[in-house]
Amino acid sequence: MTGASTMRFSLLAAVLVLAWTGAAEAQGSTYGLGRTPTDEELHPWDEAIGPMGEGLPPGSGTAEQGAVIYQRRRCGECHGPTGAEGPAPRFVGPLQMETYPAGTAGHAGQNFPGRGISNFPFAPLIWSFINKAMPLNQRGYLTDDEIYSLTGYLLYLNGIVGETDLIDARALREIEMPNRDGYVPPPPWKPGMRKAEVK
Amino acid sequence: MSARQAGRRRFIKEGAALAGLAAAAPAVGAQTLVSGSSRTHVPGGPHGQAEHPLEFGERSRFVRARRIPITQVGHADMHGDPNGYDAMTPIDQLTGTITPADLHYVSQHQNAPEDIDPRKHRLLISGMVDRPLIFTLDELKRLPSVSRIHYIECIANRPSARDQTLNQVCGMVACSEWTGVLLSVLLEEAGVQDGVTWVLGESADKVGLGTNIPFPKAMDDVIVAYGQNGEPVRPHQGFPLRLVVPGFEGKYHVKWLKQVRALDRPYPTYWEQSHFTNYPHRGPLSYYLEQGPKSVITFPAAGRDPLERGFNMISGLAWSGCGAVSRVEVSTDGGQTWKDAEIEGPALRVAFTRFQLPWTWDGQETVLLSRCIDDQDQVQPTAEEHSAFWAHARPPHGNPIQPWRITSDGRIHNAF
Repeated sequence: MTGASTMRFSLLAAVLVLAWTGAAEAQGSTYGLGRTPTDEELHPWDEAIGPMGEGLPPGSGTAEQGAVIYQRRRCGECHGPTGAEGPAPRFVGPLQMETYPAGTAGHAGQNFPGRGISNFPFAPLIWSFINKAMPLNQRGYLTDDEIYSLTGYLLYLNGIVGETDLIDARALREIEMPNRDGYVPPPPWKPGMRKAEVK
Repeated sequence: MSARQAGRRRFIKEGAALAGLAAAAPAVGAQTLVSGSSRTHVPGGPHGQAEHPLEFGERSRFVRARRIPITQVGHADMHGDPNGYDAMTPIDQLTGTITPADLHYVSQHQNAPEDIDPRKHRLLISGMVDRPLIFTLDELKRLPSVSRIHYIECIANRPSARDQTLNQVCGMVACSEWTGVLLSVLLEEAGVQDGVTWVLGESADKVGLGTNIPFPKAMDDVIVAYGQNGEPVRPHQGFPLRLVVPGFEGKYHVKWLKQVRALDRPYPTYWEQSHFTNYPHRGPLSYYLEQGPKSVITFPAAGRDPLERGFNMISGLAWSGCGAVSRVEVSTDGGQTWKDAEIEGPALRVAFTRFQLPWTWDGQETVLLSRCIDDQDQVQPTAEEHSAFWAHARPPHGNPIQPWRITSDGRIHNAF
């Protein structure tokens, strides 16, 4: 391609790009690919719930009902009869480090952050995780009300709510978790930030 | 019935169908990952068998390249689950800067989904956007693509005095060429609204893993990847879609990506709450984001045959989550003196960078060290500097300088 024709080509390309950009602004989309999701697709049943309960569905339950569901859904087979025995993560316990058991590859005797529910800084996120993941390999089987009840039961086992307290979206939003101050989002990130831990 | 309940019912129905499918063909994944017998180890083979030996390029039978499993049943991180699987990259066997996809480390905490059919998989862009959009894989492939080489490193990849080999010290890291669409392209297509400060990527895995990424990062260089090292991302690496968040810890690189939401705050997820928050008496701890400069000598290194006297080219890998490697210094006398190593091959940003230094070993006991300096002049910390900074935080990042002690018999020991 000669210099002159290159320039003509570039000009033409620039005009085309401008025209295209103008059209894109009007349409709001450059490529026109993808489609508008249906209501069901827009909010998948297992999408994460926000820390202030954003996205929690209607429904309610109590710890008392949750205890029954804990038995019926056989949660204790992995988490222990009272939620404190494991072997799956123990969700009952104080704020403290846990210790890897003897015989654990490479980690025996080392501490790791405890996973008691009381470590979670936001109560709605307990609902969110049960909804997303439990029972393991059978997720999706619990109803919204059952998840409210189980959330209440775990909070009750940790002494955070009463046995008959109504647990719904509003209650979860208002619960002051003991580790609330243990969580902070990082300061604003921008490209090229230096690490604090290196010279 | 609400849309949400309808979605759940549909999921259970389809899940039941999938479970039947999985029961009929249970052995493929297990065979490839666990036993990995060389006879049937067919990369990408849908049935674990090639019809002709040349249909797939096998490694020589003299090369035993395998991931090294580190999981034990009952490991707390595995939720006590026998199917949880962590395995290290055999970085002692890598050459150059690319890790073969079938040797890329894996950390599967009981969450790998069943076979995902790429024709049915969708990616949803939603949240605070003008036009929520849902994409098929084919549509994503019609968009402008990028191919970039980036490392991914697990937050747990850090040396310990208990480690006995190079792979134990530094096996939870790998580097691939990732091909896909920039997340910024998808977010711009959807029209991000004012006030968005974070995006949340969520997985189609069995526990709905998700991670929060600062919005400026999402618009900078994050890739929605469908390709890895010239082929579709492999199932254990997130087929058909993986979020690649260059330089951020491994957990950010969401596998089996199904949804990205634009948000005005982070929505902390299970791992982010249970592992990455701290305790009142230790002070608050927020997410960690990008990883600092790091290097490791891969030859000579513990776990290899004893070193022979005479000429040996010291070789290793360096990387930084913050940019490119600008320099690597090596000490062959326990840190008394340092020499600039030669950068061998490309030194791309947020990618493995190979370094080497010619050396003649006289048979005297000594300690080898390397330290990485990145293009922001950040220097890889010593073990002392590293532990002083991270004393009150867990889990720490894992980039202290790694020492190898060579005793006069040529044996190489982890001296961390």
